[in-house]
Amino acid sequence: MTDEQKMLQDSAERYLRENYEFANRQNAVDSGNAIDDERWRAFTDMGWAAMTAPEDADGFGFGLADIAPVIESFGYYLVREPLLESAVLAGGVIAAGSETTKAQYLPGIIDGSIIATIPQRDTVPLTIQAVDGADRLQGDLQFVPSGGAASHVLAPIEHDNQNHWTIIDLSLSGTSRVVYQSHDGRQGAHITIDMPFDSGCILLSGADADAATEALYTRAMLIAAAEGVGAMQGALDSTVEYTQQREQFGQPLSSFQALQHRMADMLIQTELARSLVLAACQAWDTQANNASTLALAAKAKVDLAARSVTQEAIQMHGGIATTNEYKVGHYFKRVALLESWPQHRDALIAEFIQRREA
Amino acid sequence: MIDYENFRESVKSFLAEALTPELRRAGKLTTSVFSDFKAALAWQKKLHAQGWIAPDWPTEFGGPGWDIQQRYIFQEECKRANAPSVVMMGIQMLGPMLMHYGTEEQKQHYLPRMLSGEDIWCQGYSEPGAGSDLASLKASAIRDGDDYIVNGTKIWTSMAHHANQIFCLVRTDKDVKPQAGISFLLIDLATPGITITPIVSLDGQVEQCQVFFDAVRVPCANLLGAENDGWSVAKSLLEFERGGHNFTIDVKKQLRKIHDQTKLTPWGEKTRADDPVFRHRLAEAEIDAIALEQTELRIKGTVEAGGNPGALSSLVKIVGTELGQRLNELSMDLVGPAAGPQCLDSLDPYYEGNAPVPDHALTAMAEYINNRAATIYGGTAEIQRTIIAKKVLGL
Repeated sequence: MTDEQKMLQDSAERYLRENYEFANRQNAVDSGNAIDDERWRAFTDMGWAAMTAPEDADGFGFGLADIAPVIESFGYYLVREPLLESAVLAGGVIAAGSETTKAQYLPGIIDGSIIATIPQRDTVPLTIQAVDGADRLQGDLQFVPSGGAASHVLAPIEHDNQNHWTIIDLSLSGTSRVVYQSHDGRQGAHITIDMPFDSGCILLSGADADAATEALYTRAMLIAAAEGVGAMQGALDSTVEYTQQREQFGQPLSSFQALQHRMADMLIQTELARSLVLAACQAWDTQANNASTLALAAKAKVDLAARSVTQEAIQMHGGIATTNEYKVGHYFKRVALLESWPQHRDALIAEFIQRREA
Repeated sequence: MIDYENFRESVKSFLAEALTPELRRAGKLTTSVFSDFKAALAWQKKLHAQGWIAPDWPTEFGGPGWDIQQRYIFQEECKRANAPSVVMMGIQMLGPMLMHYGTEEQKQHYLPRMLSGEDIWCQGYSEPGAGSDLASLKASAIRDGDDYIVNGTKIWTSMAHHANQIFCLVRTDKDVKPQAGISFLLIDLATPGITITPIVSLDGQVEQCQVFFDAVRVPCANLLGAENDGWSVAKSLLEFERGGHNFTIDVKKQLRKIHDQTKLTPWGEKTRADDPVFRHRLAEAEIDAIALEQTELRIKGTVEAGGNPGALSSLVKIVGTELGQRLNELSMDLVGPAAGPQCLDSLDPYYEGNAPVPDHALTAMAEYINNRAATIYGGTAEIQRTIIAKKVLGL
């Protein structure tokens, strides 16, 4: 690990610990704003949106393994701003595009003036239709996470038997969205597009677009998996701390072996998942042969493990954890939604089987 | 810089030559941690002649001088080639303790005999009343001149019916706290007063015994470490074992076997390899196997960097054994009624008759049965969870 990476990790952890307490986060959720502007500025001022951007675009050029601890911190502190979606995922697709579109969009991603998000993996691509002699871009993007916070959305287009990636400015006319409050404190959206087609917004086409799709959703799995590990760690730490304080029958709950062993199982699942996620990030960064298989395995493992770890956390806290004002249940909600992002676990396992047999 | 691929090739070519069909069959028919004894001993002698019998030992005592990676490759290739397992209580367990605590005389006497297989050791720790709470053990050794007089009993002494030596934890002081009054004794099983009673396991075979000591005279020279210091001697083994056993290698062998079984098991007009429900369950287990592998690699990295993996070794013991049991269940689900026949004859690698079931079904039930012990021996899954709760979580 380089000094730069270490500094980034430490500063991210420290900033979030000091400025992202759960009560503050909930106040921000309750304010009705999709993101907290002050925190968003702080994130980008500290260079977090430049973590994985290429060095020739003023980024740090870090790999996912380098930033995995930062992603874990996002999970641990229940960060709801879509920094990773915008900077790492959307930014990654843009960085694979032409110099023109890179110059047009990457600086905004890095300085935070653009908040870009991406749709689910199984989204039906947009189409280009001739209407009254003019090409129109049309289609729906359903359940776009952080679609409420986004200024831009990346979308797949299928046209002339080719796939493309485009970027859409959501302030333009011809775009509309229905924003919904999501159980994880974020604001998602259904986005409807019916606008004049602008070929200047095409980021990638053909084989390049297909490769970008593969890369995008592999990275999305790895980021979600690393975030899930952070959430599991948060749920475990909270459970350990709470059971040490809470007394029943005249002794701390943590003194009961029935609970100790279950907390040991939470640790086991968290560490297994962490080992797999780190290995999968490294494999991806080095473009190892088994990178895709490991990413699928990592995401599927985190999905299953995080589900049980966060359920156990609620059970061992007792009634308090079923309230919205207590933190630990929010880990449970977040990882439940991560299970179908960017695609549901069952589909990942089916793909895992195919790749293993190939 | 070691050329690992080259090393792997040399291991493979040795195995190709040294493993006779009977030895391979013994490996294939191994349904617990122990292979057929006759085959295990024959294999030990071959490895000994090659200088590879004790991969973990330092060269001065007869080890091959391999690093962690080489030892991993060796274990992996042995499993892949279906080599039988060698009886491990001497070389893997007692050996390291002897090197650390033994007198010069003890080392010179016992270590070479251990390597050659002249001495077969068994372990006398557990007693009928002392399992997980080992420190409560009662077998006693009372000083009488230059000897100890040993009385009591030891149980779950694997391979005692084939062994000629036993290392025992015995009580030499009843008036101190339990751990402080225990000593470590090396006892020749031919000594008068010792009775060995085999215990038939659920699968119908004998691996375990109970050993009874009735006024057995053991020379004081057979004490390992200081009197009343036996608990420290025994505990040092735990440290040695860290990063030692590799569960991934076992689990991968099970997975290979299950994949082979799926292709041989009918499913309508196809085979179970085409059954999406089974494939999904198998994939979930495989994903856990990858997570286990990556955790073991993380531990290996920590050990290589001079660190102590601490309670992560409890973690892999739990996960490795519980995952192994899950894979046994998948095997059972595949073979169905073919798991029924007990096949005691056919499980003997030297048997020449015909088995009542196909090869791929021969071991499923015995493995399923025998592997229940995996979460009991070597510190139960519950003890391991308590270690994690105390040492990692601070509960």
